[in-house]
Amino acid sequence: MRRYIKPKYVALTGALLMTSALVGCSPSPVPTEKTVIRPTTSASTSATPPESVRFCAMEKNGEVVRVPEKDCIQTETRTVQSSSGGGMSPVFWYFMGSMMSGNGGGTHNYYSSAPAYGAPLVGGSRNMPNVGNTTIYNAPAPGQSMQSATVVSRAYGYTAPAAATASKTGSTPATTTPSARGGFGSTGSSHAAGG
Amino acid sequence: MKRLSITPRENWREELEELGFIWHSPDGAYWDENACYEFSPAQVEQLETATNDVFELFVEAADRIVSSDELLADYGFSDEVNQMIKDAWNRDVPALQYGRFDFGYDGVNPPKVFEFNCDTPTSLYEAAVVQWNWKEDVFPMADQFNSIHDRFVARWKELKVHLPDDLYFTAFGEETGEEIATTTYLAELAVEAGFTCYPILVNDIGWNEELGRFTDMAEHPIDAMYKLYPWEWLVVEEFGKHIPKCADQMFWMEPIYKMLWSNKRILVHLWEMFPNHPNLLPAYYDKRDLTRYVTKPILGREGANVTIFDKGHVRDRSSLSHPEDGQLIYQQLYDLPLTDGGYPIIGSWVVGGESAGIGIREASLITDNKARFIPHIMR
Repeated sequence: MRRYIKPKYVALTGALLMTSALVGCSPSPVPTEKTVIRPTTSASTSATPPESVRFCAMEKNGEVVRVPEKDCIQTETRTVQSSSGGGMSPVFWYFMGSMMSGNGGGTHNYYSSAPAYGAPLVGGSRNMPNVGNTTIYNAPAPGQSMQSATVVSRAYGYTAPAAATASKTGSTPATTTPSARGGFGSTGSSHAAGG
Repeated sequence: MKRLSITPRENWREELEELGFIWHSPDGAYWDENACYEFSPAQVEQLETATNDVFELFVEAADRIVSSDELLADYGFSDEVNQMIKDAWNRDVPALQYGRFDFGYDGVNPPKVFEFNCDTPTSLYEAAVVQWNWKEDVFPMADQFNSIHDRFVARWKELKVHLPDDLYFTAFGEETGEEIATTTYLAELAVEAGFTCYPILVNDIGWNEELGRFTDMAEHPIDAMYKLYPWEWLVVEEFGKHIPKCADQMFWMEPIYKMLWSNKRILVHLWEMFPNHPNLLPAYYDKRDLTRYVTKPILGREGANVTIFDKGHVRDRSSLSHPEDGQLIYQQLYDLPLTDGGYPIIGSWVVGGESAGIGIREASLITDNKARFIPHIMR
């Protein structure tokens, strides 16, 4: 009889949205107890965890920006909320920022582990190594466009795609002739793709 | 197979959100830890064996369909799509070979397969990661039929020699975040295996006429892409006509032959090819001699357009309707065990073509998008 052992996934507790998984780094050792890896700054490595404060994203002057919950205007059609101070992956933020900028629609309420507003991470550099020196922090700073989320980071071997230009940053485009876009996705607006 | 009523963790919402499981309660409750299922090792082995056996049936069926123009024509795809399916199958292009079989199971008799969600399966993250985390918290001494995560990482590593280092991941940004989060999870698994991953929304994918290639937002050609977006949509949308033009220059994950397995015509073909197989239910294009049966469309998802007939009466009917989901098939009704929480259906995962673990959803007779995910243990 085969035993089904614990998945060797450090991110079981930070899993989906763990930034370290997206920086091309080696997986962290399997924890023997629950471990949540959070982004930290040099100024905060020994400090308390980031404050857990909800934030939302809302449209402001034509851009979608991240604001503390108290400033969130819920009448806006697109909101993102966070309930904890963990890290989100650049992939997630790219998708989210892209949705916010008009590909989605309707109201979005995401109770996810996005970084806390006001945490030290967002004040200065947003390339934040974690304790394993591998994690980058990649959410938009307060007041900055959601589209800016993934622009910032290029660290530790990972080349983050720019939010508006998800691509192999640093390499030369194969052509300067613009591509046509929008030819996929029409069915997805009225159906759930997953099953 | 027992259903246990248990007390949820006090901070279960925070625990789930800490994991990034952000769609636990989209309309009421989806994740439900007021109960769990307990399986014996023998029952797990029965599910594992059935999963492996049924996957082999699907492989054998695809072999026969791809080599038969008559069978392939039954699916109604265009000639170009048929050719791409043949090419992808015969070349054995890289694939995760993952998916979720939905089984009826009573804990004793052979599990019966209802369908194979293998093109865009969801409920993956909760099965692979969230329920393991729950088990560690609530039943640390018990085991769980769950090696899904490890098998994904291993499979991505196996594919490393066959794929470019750079992979694109695409999804449509629907409102619950489930598809985005599931796609993100697949990307993280790939990163753990050594790939570099780039996200792009489905509607941001470009077609560059000069290159004859699909491109990212900075005009780089896309060499390999994982998609959580159904093939049957891709091929009929505006850019679908370009897919054959660069089929030799781009890897799609999963390959286009998944259109065969995710189409419920396969259930009819399987019954024709392997009649009375213990893990199959009779399935036809018409009612035949069935008195208790389910009708479902060949392209339906999340229980849409499903109706259950029981001796001349409509016993249940889906509230979801997508008329474009196509022709109906007739499948013999399976009597799911009724529990305090409804009818459980076993989502049995294959990864790399091998049984990898299960997730359980409870619902009314029709397992639709209102089903609840119930964690499980093995002991």
